[in-house]
Amino acid sequence: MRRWLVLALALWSLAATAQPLDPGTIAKLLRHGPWPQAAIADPSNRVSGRPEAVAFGRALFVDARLSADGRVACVTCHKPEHGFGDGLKLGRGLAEATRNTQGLFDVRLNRWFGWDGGNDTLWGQSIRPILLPAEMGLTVAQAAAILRREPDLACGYRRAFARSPESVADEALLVDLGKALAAFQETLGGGRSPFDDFRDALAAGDRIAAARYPAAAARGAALFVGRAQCAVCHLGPAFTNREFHDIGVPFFTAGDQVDPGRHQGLRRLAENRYGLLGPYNDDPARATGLLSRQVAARHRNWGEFRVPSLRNVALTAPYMHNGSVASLRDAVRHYSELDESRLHADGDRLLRALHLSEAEIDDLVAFLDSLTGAEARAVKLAPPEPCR
Amino acid sequence: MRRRLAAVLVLATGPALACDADFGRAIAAEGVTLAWRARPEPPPLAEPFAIEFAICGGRPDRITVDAVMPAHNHGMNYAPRLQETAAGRYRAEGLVLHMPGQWRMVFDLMLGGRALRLSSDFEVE
Ligand code: HEC
Ligand code: HEC
Ligand SMILES: [Cu+2]
Repeated sequence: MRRWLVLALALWSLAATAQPLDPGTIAKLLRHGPWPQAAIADPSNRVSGRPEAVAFGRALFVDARLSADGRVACVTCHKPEHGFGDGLKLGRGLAEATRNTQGLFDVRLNRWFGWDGGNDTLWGQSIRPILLPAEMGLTVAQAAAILRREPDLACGYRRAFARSPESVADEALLVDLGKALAAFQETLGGGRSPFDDFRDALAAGDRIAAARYPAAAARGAALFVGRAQCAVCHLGPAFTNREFHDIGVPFFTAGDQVDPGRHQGLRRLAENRYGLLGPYNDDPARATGLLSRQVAARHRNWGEFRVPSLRNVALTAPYMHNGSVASLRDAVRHYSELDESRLHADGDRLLRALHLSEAEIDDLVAFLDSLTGAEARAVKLAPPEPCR
Repeated sequence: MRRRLAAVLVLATGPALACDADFGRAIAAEGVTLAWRARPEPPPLAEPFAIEFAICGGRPDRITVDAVMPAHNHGMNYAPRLQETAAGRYRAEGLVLHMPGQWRMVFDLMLGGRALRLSSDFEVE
């Protein structure tokens, strides 16, 4: 008898907290899955998916010998405990970078890389920090010389690429470093999140499993795809349309410089030797190069930045291309109190200050938090085994 | 003889067929008909796709294809590559509709010095 009462109370409280979602909202939520997405090899990178290249790339990722002062490695800024970001406003290597460090979970799914999309390959994006004066600060010749000189690196290279670094020209060697680093980063899956369990429960019509998802997060999810219109840009399984927008984050940087965002990204892309249309694409058919050929500059590109994925976003504070937003709550507030006059005149006519209530802000934050999973929170980098 | 007659008939009705039978969406104005379909159909959200189209009732000297989102006042981030695949038949590649909502496919034709704009609205979700 007591047991029945407890059960009835439990069911009643379930019904009270979990407001049923209407079918339209459920249909919209289903579009943010399934997750994870199948891994496909990158045809522009001949060592994509090769275990020897993944191992070599993992070793390079934590190796500070690839920097001008011998102290900066990729992992200096891309730390596992911060979703492979650094927890800082702006990246800091040899000097301070001008942008916030991006997290690297599920980076293989990107179409464009960097906040401005100046790269169209993961391997090209991985070469960039090695050469940037504020990050690792090497020249092409220096990077190649280090690789040839250090026995463990030369050994890793031979295993990954089945040739000796002595036989390869400097720039081609640097590109191969980028490709091994990319092969490793392709394995950084961010795993599933509480939202994915909720979404799959909705797909299966399993109301008991769906009710395990916190009620505040469920209300936040409905807002996200509904009145708040977040899913117009943060769409699909990765919560991004993979394109560029101006949401009114200031683009002034230190010392009255401006960050032109996508405008500059398209210029960099056009000059980029380490991309799909350059000489180092390993796919002779350039099957993945169509959009790099057809991408077109627009007036509104000035001050546009890439729509970030929101998966595992709880790990990568502070936010935005300039790290100017400290927390997820502040990010939601940004959209709630948006300064419409700040938006570009010929920009999107879509963004409006949402004027959310405190309770709605709580709900959206609960939803954003639920996009981070236990797997991503627990991820560690195993120490590399030196190649002999 | 029968076969030759059939061939003549096909030639005569060919262009008309191209503009309605196997294309889903037809637009007609000023005696010109343009029929188009997406590859894949329906047009996907935020993923690259192609369109195929046929033009009947005129042979344009110049064609441009674009897609715009009237409610948001923006177009695509890509300029599609256009090819004529057979007489009066075309294929445009490299389109991406990067937001859900109402889009408008816009075809601008130059027909012997005359400019003609044909457009058709559709939903993407
Ligand atoms: C000084 C800190 C720093 C170091 C060192 C660094 N990065 Fe980054 N990383 C950044 C910043 C800042 C960005 C954003 C760049 C931009 O938008 O211009 C970034 C972006 C990236 C991206 C793009 C992610 C995306 O979503 O598009 C990849 C990939 C990446 N870094 C890989 C690497 C690799 C590999 C190394 C080592 C070879 C490395 N990084 C070293 C700070 C750093
Ligand atoms: C018009 C497209 C668009 C809409 C609509 C939109 N976003 Fe964004 N979002 C962006 C862009 C672009 C950025 C990066 C801006 C920058 O760095 O300057 C961003 C950044 C973010 C970030 C920071 C992520 C990070 O890694 O730095 C969060 C969180 C976020 N958005 C949540 C939301 C929420 C919640 C909504 C709905 C209230 C929303 N977005 C609506 C385009 C959009
Ligand atoms: Cu739009």
